[in-house]
Amino acid sequence: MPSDTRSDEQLVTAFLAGSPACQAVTSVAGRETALDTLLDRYQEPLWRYAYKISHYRDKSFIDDIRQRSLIAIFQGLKTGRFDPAKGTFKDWAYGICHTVCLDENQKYERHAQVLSERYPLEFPDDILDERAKAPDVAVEEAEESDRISRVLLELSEEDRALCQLALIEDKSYEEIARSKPFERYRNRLPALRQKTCALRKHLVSLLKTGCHRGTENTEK
Amino acid sequence: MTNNKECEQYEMDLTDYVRGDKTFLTREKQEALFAHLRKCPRCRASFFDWENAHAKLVSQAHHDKPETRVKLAELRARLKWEFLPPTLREPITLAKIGETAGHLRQFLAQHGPVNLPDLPDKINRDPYLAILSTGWLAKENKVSIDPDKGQTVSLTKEEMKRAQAQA
Repeated sequence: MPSDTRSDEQLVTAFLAGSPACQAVTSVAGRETALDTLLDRYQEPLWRYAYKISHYRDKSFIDDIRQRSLIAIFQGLKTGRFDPAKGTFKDWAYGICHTVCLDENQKYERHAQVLSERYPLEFPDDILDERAKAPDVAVEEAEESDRISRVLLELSEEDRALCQLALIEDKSYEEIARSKPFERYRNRLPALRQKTCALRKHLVSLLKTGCHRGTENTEK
Repeated sequence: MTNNKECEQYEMDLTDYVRGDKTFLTREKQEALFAHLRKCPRCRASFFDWENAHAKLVSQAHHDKPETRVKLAELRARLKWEFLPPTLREPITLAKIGETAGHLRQFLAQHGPVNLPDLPDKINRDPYLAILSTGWLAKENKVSIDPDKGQTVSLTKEEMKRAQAQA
């Protein structure tokens, strides 16, 4: 299916077209397409962003943050809170996700009382801004997804298993060494750590090679 | 300025921080890592690259799961329900509202309660007609709408008895 090449701002205009309900009847198909495209473009990048900056790695928790963010984004569009003169849609949308994330983190801390278990230490504020701006949004999510699958296939079977356990499921070294292909590391966790670090570096370089589009911002 | 040797000693800590593995990563080591990241732009870039790659790997695995896809489809439907007006497929007349109300009553008697946003698809009727007919039945005390159960529409007990008796 050909992808929608309109900019985010053009999609926002299409989504808001004929806002009063009586006129909207005729333009609803165009509005629906605009909403669909904005969702396709942002639902996964917002999830990844929330995953990166959230203190907790529970995936349902991140799903909830994404859901709240998207509802707030479309609510904000509908009530005219997005002003293109003040910045891009992308920055505005990420700003909303950021606020929701901080809010949910606070709530989670209050209710779950898991401060002692907090996912390592919080990232320092003075480099947080730069971290938030680190490029991520892919040009085409489907294309990006294919590329990741291809990169994983390029790994040896053992590396793919390690990638799954260490870099996707975030198992601890002890847990990894308890699984079959890595039992030989049971008493050699530092060696397993070294292997994981080497795999991480290899994978990042594979993901960066020949995929510069994937690490650039979408907006023109 | 930092040198390669200095940077190398943080590579494994950097990997572990993003993975959230504290086996080797003590609080002191994390603080030393942050101090190094503050002064080393090359390691900062490396950190961000790894963090983005990690988020992509985890996200892809998560979004490949059927339950995540279902959740996303529900979210999409909810956003459309909340932020788009339903399509008017045909002119609305009182007779059509009445006919749809009859169809809705029969559907609820046979299939039980339905979530209001799902109603038009379930009874295969225009969304405006589905909502208007729900209002019609509610005014006649034939259906109740429970906001605590996700805006569930169901037949009232009396109406259910009547429908069962007719059947």
